[in-house]
Amino acid sequence: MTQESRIDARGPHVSPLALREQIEDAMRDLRRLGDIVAIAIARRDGLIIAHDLPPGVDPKKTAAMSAAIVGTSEMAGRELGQGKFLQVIVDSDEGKILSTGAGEEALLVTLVRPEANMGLVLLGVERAAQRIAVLLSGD
Amino acid sequence: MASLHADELERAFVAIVDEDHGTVTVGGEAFVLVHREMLSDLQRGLEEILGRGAESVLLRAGFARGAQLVDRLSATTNGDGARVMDGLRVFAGRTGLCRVEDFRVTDSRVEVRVTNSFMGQAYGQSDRPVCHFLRGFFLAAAERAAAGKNLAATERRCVARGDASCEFEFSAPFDASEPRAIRAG
Repeated sequence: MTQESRIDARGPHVSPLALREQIEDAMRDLRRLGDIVAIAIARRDGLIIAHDLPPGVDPKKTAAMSAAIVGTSEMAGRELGQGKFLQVIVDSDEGKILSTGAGEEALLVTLVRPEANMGLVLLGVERAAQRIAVLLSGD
Repeated sequence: MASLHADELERAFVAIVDEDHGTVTVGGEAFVLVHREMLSDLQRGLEEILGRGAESVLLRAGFARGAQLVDRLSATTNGDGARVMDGLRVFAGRTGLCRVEDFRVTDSRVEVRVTNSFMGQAYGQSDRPVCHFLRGFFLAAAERAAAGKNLAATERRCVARGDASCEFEFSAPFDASEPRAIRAG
């Protein structure tokens, strides 16, 4: 199986509905960190997988922008000899956008309150990203 | 399969090169003739800066073009799905995007197989599929054909990877009948 196909090929034991519920669970657990305002899961090619973005936010555009931000950050890190990409944080006065890989083919994007404890948030996001990566790979 | 009538085709996709005015039109819409290598250079340039993020840009651009064409064809064929797909096939061939060999709609997915993909041919060898614009272009048609939104779009085979043709698959990651916005409880 190619990496390109892994998101859609979820293995024989997980029905689409079950996968949906498991991803929903992972998102719900992450949201238990009070500092997280919204979550989007996107493919690295910028297509949206799941989200709980606020009304009025275009999830498709958000997913595409996140893919571009992560892609550019990865390339910048490589160009500047900074090693493997871990995450990118867009820090704004009303909040932060944290984007990280969730396996080879997906991204986890979280909107975080400006005053958040980023240590806790990063731990929670990393754990959620690993969980989502496993779910989407079908392993 | 129903076909577009010849006169409909001519009206929809006639190509006119007007050297006096420096314009090229296809079906009355302005086009620019460019080497496909110029487009592959452009894609490589995007990839150099955006990495895989370039896919999102190209895919969205392809989707926008595909959706615009599908809307136009739907209007001229009164929404006849088979004729829309027929028109899409003619347009792709006439404008040099690719030759559509197969457009298959099943219960769970849409599969499109093409040869002579402009990017697949021009890009050169690649470890990954490269036809992101076409993937977006056919995603728009697939969403219409499958009456589904937010389908996942994958290029299963690509001539740039050494395959005989380029094959795209469009399917609902979860359940086509369900919206994919998930509200945290």
